[in-house]
Amino acid sequence: MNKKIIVSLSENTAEAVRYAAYVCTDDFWVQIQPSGNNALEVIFSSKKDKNINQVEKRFTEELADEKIREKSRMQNIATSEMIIRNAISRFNPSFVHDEQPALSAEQEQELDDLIAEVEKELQDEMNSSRNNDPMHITQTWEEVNRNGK
Amino acid sequence: MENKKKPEKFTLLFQHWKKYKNKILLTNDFGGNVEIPGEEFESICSKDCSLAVSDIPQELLDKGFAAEMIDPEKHSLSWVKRHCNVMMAPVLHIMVMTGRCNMQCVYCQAGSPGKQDKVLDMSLETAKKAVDFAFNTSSPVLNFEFQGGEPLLNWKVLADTVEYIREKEKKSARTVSISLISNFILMDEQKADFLLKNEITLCTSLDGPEYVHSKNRHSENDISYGTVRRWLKYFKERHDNQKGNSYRIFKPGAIVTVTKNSIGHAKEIVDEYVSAGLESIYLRPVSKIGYAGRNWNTIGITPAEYLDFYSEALKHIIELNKKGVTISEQACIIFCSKIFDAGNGGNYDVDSPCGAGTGQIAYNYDGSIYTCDEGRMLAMEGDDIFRIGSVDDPVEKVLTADAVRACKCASELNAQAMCSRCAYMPYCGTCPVFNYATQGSFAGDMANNMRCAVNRGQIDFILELLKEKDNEAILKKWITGSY
Ligand code: SF4
Repeated sequence: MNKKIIVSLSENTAEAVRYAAYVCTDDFWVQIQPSGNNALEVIFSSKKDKNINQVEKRFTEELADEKIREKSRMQNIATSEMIIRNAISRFNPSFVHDEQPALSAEQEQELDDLIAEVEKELQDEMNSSRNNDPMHITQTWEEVNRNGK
Repeated sequence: MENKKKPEKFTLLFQHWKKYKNKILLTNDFGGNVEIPGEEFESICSKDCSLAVSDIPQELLDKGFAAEMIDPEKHSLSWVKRHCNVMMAPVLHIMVMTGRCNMQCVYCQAGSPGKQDKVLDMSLETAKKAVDFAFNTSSPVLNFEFQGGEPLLNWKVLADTVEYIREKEKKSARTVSISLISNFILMDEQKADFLLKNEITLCTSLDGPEYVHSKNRHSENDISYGTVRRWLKYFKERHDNQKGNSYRIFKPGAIVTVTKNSIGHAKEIVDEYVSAGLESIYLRPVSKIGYAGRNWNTIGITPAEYLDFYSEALKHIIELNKKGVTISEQACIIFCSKIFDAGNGGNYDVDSPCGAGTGQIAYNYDGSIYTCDEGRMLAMEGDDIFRIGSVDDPVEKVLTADAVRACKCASELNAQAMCSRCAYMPYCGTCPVFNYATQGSFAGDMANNMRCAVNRGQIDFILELLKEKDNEAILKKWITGSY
């Protein structure tokens, strides 16, 4: 047995009708076709032993929900897309591993020397600033106490 | 300082909801869920989904339902956490060491080809190429999972491959882990020692007490149950007594496949895990694919049967937790990780889009590469649609193959008619291989999909459980692992 429901397209979008009908396909077969001017005919037939009379209420409720979703979606699509765009921009799109070539022994030595030089400069600077710091205010509590000062 | 004007009205983000018992469950893409009375929902909807600041319930603000309160940084990070597999190179590299198997389980998805035919074994050359392929991808974390068939049937190649991986690991800055899925029938102390010294995580199948396990998992002379229990005990003891070792020994794990033989034994199956000293159980319904599909009349279950089984098991597990027993359930952890906004639960099957070809790939014994293990199993049945290349192909070509892209589109729930409207979408995922094998298309038909019905029921049940504070505390502990 079939159930035909006519839905006006001036009050509903074809999308909303399609989505609302799809949800009912767990229990019913559905066919959607144009019906005259500005309307759709949705024809349900029962799968298994589902009572065909239940379908109208269910479909009507689904259609009402769908209208709310459409409205909400229109209001929020820009926000959702902005968040997803922001999220996707964090990914590295390369799938292939790009291993940095290891440093040669010579380059490694050069790097070690450079680090040692910078460390020495820092140490010198700290020592000289401490000499100008009779109250030890540039030292940490631990340093002051460790030295028994 | 810029004086940002406070909005007078809030626009509510209502995309996913479910009506039940005159209440509305609202969910959003950031994991937030709120239950509000039906009348309140109707009243908000009648006001164009917007509310005056003074009228808006605080919970809706806190959980990300007000468009004007969205924090792009916080919410996009939350999105990244739950969809992190989308644009990554695979983390999970499944290596099928052989298509052969020494058992014939009733629910095998891969066609159970027997243990004789050695052409089904992966050669060392192919295995090394597969490992090289994995190291050539950009993922900073690589998890190699040895599978079969029964991988121990190809032991020499397996052991040499493990050594090859550990060698390569030393020369790279990757975090590498290795796991082995085995029925343990060919396990001996020498192999066990080698596996443990190489820090390999061991996992097996234990379907419950002997009277359930042996009906599902057929082995020569019915030795499977005793063997599994013996080796679980051995590995657990080695784990518990590892002090002084120079290597880490991980807890062994096991999974359950629920068939018609399991129905009515939910509690006993959980108790079996507790008595085996296991601290986690992973319950999954049998899939109607491969040999299992051909056996469906004797082993198949309906979503309703599975959900009854699952809720009884989960309730029992929670009761045990309340008595101080340490045991968690993996499917529940996957959903709860998303509900609590703690990531994707480390699982690629329940993800949107799914992890096929991005979170994971599978290398078959002959060097063919598939989107995932399920896609590879379908190939053992003669359908190569999920094949994405071979170990000889360039990485870029394989990871952008047609089947990978088709899986992404098909499993993106926002693009699914029913899922994009479903209250459970933020926590859910669909499997293109399952859809294709059972419904004929990658996208499937969710209104009539068994996995969808099971997911819906499981999430329903979990959200119901979470209404009790005691339960919530237990499930949160499972996620953080802080027993
Ligand atoms: S698969 Fe089913 S439960 Fe999951 S989001 Fe889609 S419709 Fe909802």
